[in-house]
Amino acid sequence: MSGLFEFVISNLLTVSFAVAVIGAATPLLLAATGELIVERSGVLNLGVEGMMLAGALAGFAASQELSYAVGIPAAALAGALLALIFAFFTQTLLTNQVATGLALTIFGIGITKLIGEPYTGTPLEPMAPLFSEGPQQIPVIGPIVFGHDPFVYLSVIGILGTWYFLFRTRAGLILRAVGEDHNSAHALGCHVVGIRYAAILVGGAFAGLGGAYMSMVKTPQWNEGMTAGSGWIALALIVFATWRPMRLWLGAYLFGALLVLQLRIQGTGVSVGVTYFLTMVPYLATILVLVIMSWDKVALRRHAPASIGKIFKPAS
Amino acid sequence: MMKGLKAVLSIAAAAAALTAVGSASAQDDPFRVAYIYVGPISDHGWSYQHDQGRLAVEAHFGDQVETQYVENVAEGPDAARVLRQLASSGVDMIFATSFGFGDSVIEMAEQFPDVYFEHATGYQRADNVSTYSGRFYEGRTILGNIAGQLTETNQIGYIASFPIPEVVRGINAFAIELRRVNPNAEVDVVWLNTWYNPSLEAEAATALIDQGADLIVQHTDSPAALQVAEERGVYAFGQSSDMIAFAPDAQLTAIVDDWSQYYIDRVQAAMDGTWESMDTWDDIDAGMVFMADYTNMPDTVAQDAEALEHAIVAGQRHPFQGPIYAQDGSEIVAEGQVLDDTSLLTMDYFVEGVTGSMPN
Amino acid sequence: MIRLVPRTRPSLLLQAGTSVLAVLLTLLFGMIMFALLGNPPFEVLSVFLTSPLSSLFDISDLLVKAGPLILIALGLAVGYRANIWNIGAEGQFLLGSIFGMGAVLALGNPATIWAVPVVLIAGAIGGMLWAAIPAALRTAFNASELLTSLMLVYVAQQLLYFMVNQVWKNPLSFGWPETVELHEALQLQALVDGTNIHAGLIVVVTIAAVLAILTFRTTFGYRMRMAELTPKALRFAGFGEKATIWISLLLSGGLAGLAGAIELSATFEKLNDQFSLGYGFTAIIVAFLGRLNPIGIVLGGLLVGFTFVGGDWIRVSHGINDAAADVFQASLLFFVLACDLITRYRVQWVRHGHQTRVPAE
Repeated sequence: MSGLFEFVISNLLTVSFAVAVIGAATPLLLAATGELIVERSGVLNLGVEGMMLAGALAGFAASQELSYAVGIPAAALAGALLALIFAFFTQTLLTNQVATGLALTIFGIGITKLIGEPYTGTPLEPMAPLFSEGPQQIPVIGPIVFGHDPFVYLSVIGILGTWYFLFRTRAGLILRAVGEDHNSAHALGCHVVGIRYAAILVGGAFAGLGGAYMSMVKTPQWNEGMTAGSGWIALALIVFATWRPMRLWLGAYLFGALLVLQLRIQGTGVSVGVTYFLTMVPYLATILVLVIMSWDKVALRRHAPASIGKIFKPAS
Repeated sequence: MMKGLKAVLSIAAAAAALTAVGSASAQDDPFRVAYIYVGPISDHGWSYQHDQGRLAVEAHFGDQVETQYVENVAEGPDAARVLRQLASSGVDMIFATSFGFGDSVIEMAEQFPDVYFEHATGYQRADNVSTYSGRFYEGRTILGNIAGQLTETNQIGYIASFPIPEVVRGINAFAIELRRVNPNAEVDVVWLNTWYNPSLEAEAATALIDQGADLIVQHTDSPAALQVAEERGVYAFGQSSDMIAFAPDAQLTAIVDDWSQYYIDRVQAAMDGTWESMDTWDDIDAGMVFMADYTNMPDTVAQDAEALEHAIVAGQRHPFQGPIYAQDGSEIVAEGQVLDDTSLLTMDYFVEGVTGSMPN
Repeated sequence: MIRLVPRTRPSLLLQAGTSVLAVLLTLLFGMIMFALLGNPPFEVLSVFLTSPLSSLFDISDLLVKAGPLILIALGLAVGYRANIWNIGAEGQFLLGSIFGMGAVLALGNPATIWAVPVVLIAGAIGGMLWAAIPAALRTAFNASELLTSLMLVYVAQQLLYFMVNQVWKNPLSFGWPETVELHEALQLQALVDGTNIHAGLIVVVTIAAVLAILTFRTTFGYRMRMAELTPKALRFAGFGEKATIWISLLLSGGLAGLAGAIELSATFEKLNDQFSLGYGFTAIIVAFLGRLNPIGIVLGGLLVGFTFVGGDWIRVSHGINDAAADVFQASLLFFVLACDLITRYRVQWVRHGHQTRVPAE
């Protein structure tokens, strides 16, 4: 027990733990923020992983060839470009969203591997923190608040902005209305398809940024399939958050904490046989949290966009 | 009924085989060598180095030899399919560069007796199948020497893939020399259960550094951990290939798998008709294990590392020479003795200085 | 202005026609891709198209690759018709292989062919149990089976690593993570000399036939097909929501598990840490390519098997990146989905948008 206490004090209640968690969570938070907007509009896009890879490659390539300033928008653009394919298929051609999303993921994995080949194995200068040395020197607050690269701040602005947009603006209200009941929204004169196109594109841009965080900041290199399943975790986080932005923020950091925690437990020396089960922890925890969050059916129904995944076909 | 059907289909199979893609090859055609890799050559680790060996073969033989590779071949039935496709398209020699290709290699070697097969890290041989690997643990000994001298926190972070003997052997070779140089140093191992996941490798490096490690050793394939070390201002070692480009200030040296000479020799032997089935486990001396430049360390440390390298080459030092102690302090290998190859090949325990445990 | 008018009954001829159109569009797309990669498009395409059929071996490769895909997709499609999204078949497949291996070892790796059914049934049970978790979580706690089944894939993967590294490691494999080989009697051997065709494929064909009859010739099948036409229903007509969830997941999990045990016995012949080849994910594509009906799935599985074998051949003949097969499969699915529009709707061109409102689905 005292060992556990010591582990908590020396490992979890540290600044470095907080910083590591933010680093692990940021790509998930970015991608999940985008998907939250998409799902709030009543669309389920399972292509997050593919869009993240597109962003990772575009961000890396543009940063290496030109500059970081170009890399960031390039990543968002690449994610949005893949999202456009999804939007065209599901909104214009009225295809099944699950199938189209899966196709997009496989397509994204494959096409980035083909196009990205020349960039593999080439290094990229790590991105500098946004703030200067001064504020970073402040104890505790410094590294946690001021020590990050631009992506971390983008992710925070993104999730706060999403909350504001969804719940404090008229446009957000319309988007949610479309997600709740597209037929009524259409009857009220909302351009359902147009709104969903916009949401899907924004979602793709966020996913692209999430991927780019991995190829530009976390491990500044491009490698095929480097997002290694993050897109799927991002999808799970949204249900965990019951489609609410603030909970999503919390959920992403919680998942990041679990990931870092299992590695830190290993670092203290455990039996090899245990490591397989430690690796399972973040996934099992996701399931557990999904169960807890979904338990209250009424609450879930209240928050889940009712039209999600359903095909909308306007009469004219 | 079944038998009759079988016979008919067999004849058809034979007929089809005759017309299969590119089955005939003329006398003056170049000698065709194929490589199959389990990963992408872009991993900058295991598969990448095998491909460097392939390129060396091309450079050495010029027009006489034609090489090709197939990357990302899954171990199991998929490998058998690719091997058969290669063999039936007229390839003369195939290097299969991952342990898990073993069964497929043996199966296909039986069906294509005229094709030379070479299987890296395997243990099953046949008349036309050789096996080969490198004694990479010798390099780990040198890493241990450097780490023991440079660590200030006496905590070394070790990022490991799977608990197979190859990896366990590396950890132990490292820890034995580390403790010899610095009896207070310890090795903290994190198992990732993957060979290649840059993001996870980076997380692991971060966690180890946060927990006090000031030196990172890895037995996974991507340069991600080195990049973290570079950013955090700690030292690290490259794995499989020289990764200095990813960590110019952090990489101390790297264990480089250098397959070039072996590949050139074997292709030459096959072309001369002197090829024989054999098992090769080559070392630093043979050039299969190669240490990248000793950088970012004081001259004295580099000199020690070089001296150790020479001693290993000269046979004066064996990475597993006694006394070696188990985790509980009991003696495994007595002074003056060394572990034999069989013990090395089946190693499934940790030595003193490694935290964490291997269940038996 | 385009106007889409739903067709009441999509004709079979139209479905076949659009499928062919989708394949042609995919090939055209592939040719453009090869050309952009700097390869001679016609040459590569001809290797891609002819090599999987150029020898009995290649044909059998195609069938062996298609077998597990078809088996898994057959199960998935049943649930997909009722909007039950099991996308974790890969995990159920792995559990099938683990349970199959468990049966082999529990029986002492016997030299009798009669143990084969036990191994296969054990595999099916393993897959069912793994799929029962999302089913239980969905019915009891309303947790999305789409996400729980997916998360369980990662868990199953670690479980496999644990079993082959720690529990069942073959003492003679020099410490590499693999079990002993199945006794020869337990291996589903090649039925035809000079090919890989194994008895497991007979199981696949039988199950496909049974499901086809079930779907098109029974009341249950009729209800199932009705479920597809009313997407909001989330159940097969005549069954409760919970029963539908359980039927869908147990069937798809069971078939995925069976596929795992067949692969264990017929192709891998031992369990190792490389057992996950992504069949469970690719089968989702197959299910949609087959338009969720058993006959379509068999054809879809063969088509995807074709892209695997052809994809390997162009890697061997022209050194084309293995990602080409991914892109091929993805674009095939895209085009099939897109061409489906024509079968489901009549496209009309109108000069001005009417203001008539027809409630959409």
